[in-house]
Amino acid sequence: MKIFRISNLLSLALATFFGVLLFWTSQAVQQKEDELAEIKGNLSHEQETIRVLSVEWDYLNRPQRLEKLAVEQLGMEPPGGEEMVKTVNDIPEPLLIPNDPVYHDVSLKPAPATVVPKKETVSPSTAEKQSFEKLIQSLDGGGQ
Amino acid sequence: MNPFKSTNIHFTGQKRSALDTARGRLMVLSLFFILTYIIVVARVFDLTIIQGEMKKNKDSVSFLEAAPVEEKVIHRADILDRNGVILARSLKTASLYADPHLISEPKVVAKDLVKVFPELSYGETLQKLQSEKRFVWIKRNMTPDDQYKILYLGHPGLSFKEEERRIYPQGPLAAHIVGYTSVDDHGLGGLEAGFDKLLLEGDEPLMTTIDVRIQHALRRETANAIKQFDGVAGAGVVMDVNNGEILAAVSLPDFDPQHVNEKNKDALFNRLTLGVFEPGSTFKIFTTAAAIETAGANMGDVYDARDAIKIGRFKISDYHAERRLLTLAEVFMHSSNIGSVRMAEKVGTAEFQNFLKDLGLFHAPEIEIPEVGAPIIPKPWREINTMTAAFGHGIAVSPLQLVTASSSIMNGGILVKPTLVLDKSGKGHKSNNVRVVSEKTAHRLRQLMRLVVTDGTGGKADVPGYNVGGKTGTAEKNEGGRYEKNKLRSSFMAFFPAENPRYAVYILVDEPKGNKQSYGFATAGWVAAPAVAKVIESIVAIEGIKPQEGDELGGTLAAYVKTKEQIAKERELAAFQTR
Repeated sequence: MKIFRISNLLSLALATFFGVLLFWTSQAVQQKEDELAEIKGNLSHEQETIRVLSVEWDYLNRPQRLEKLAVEQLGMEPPGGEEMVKTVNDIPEPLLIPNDPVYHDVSLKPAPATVVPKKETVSPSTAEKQSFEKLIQSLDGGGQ
Repeated sequence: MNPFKSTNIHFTGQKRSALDTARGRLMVLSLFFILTYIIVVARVFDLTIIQGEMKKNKDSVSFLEAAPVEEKVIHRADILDRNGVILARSLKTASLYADPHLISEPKVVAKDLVKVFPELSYGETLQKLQSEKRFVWIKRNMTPDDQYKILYLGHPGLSFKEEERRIYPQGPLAAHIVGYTSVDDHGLGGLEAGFDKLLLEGDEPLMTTIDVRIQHALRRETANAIKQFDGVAGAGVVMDVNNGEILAAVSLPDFDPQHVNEKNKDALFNRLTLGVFEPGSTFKIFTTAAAIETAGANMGDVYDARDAIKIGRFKISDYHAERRLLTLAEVFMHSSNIGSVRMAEKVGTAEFQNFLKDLGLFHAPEIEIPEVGAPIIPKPWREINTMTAAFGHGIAVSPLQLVTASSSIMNGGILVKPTLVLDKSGKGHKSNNVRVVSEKTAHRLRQLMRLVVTDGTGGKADVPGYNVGGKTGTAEKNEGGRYEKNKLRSSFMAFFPAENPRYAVYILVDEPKGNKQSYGFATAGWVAAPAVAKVIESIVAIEGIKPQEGDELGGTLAAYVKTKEQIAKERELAAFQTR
């Protein structure tokens, strides 16, 4: 009785092939699953971070705060009705000082930039960030 | 091709026995079964492992058997302003606690914790970690970033408890509109309460009609006016007259929705929608509109404002007394009480009542927040009530109602419904185009309001290039049944641009006191009008509205307003005649 007949060999090879294929596929799938789970974890973490950061963004961009900073740091003031102009032509020409070399002699190097004295509150990021954290902390009324 | 045909398996040799034939058939059969089983196994794997998981949680497909069951987090929905700026959002905050029994190296853990949270003291933390308890709080409500750092440390015995917290990044800015929530995430005021169910369902954010920039400008100017004139409270609103959208709504004093003090009823009270007040002269808008609309009054009609009106124990007199015959335009411009009473008399009690009812002044307005005050209407309504209502006394309505009703006239006569929720379809909230006054009457009112600002009591509300129209309202506060001469409610109702109004701006200051700059006056023209002008200046800058070349309505009523010379001449003539 022949065992190693072509038909037997063929079926054995076929079975082995499918077995290996199945194992390989299942391994590949599992690997992808792991990757997916990690990506999902990162995604939800990022989403939660975005939620927090967008709140922080809007907190730091409160109109009150921007106005205060613009007034204190940039010397700006709320616009009056007359600041709005009808057309571009209504914008006044920059005031030229007749003998100011800056406007006349192109070869002149620009004057050294004057260092604007910075006020203490110029870096609001740290202080404001802390105040945001305080806001979150204080939610519980400080109770432990 | 049929595999079972005997001709197909005759491959083993030419001489074949019956046994060979049988073996051959067996082989074919077993091959067939192997193939079938492979298919069945593959199919079973597909159905149970792959598709079965998919069906189990339809929206979050998890192929991983070991994957943690993903909970779909439903946050209480956000409340946004009309540009998407966050007014309220629920954030997941983690609180760190420790089980000291599970911590083997308290010193190392304490050291690491202090590294992440510099504000914790090493000694205290160590003490907590060495205690005999099974549960100690280390840090409440931390940011996700800090949480990640703790997880990264990987110390056993440290765990998190996650909680949802409602955050209001704008603070008190729109506190009365947005409202606030209880500890268990239920809305207790404003939109938080009005849309509590919808917000709890999550996902879709609630987009309001508020614009935080305009809201800030309105709040700033209202607060400034209160501060400058030492008032006790105030309210303000900016409304789009064409669709009733409320761009800004302020009630002062206000509160921080993050830390609500339930006992501070004064701050929680929404003066704009819940408070009802005697509106004073701003009510003359309706009296005049009624006279023009229903009694066919003309700009040149003359009303006798020479003497105060006495009815029983009441005496109606003018604040800015002219003591002469006034045209309708002059009555409105000088805000003459006597003239307004004469006007209302001309309209008639029944007609006047119906007119006010049509404007929605007799019942509580519909708006999306629960704090809505019903107007106080005298019952029964006698003739005297018509007379006092003519100049805004003896009837109390909320500022919101006042603004809505005036907007309904100023937009060309179509009734508007106030709304706080942005209609994304862009159809607006005009309630089925109900007409309350004719376009002609609306135009007359626009002319009159412009006249008040160009020549009358509201001069300080003017913003050059924007043709502001408006009406002052100074009401004496009624305390214990009598009117206090020194306790006023000064308000100003403005519309711009007057020829085709788009915005209504209203500011009310409660109990302003005159100061040096106002020469002791605490009336609307001195208190509320300049504040309104500043709000308008801010609005045009925020919205980028270009100034206009001309002033279409300014001076159109000059023919009905007597100049000083004319008045002097008239007086002379009258004196001559009586001599």
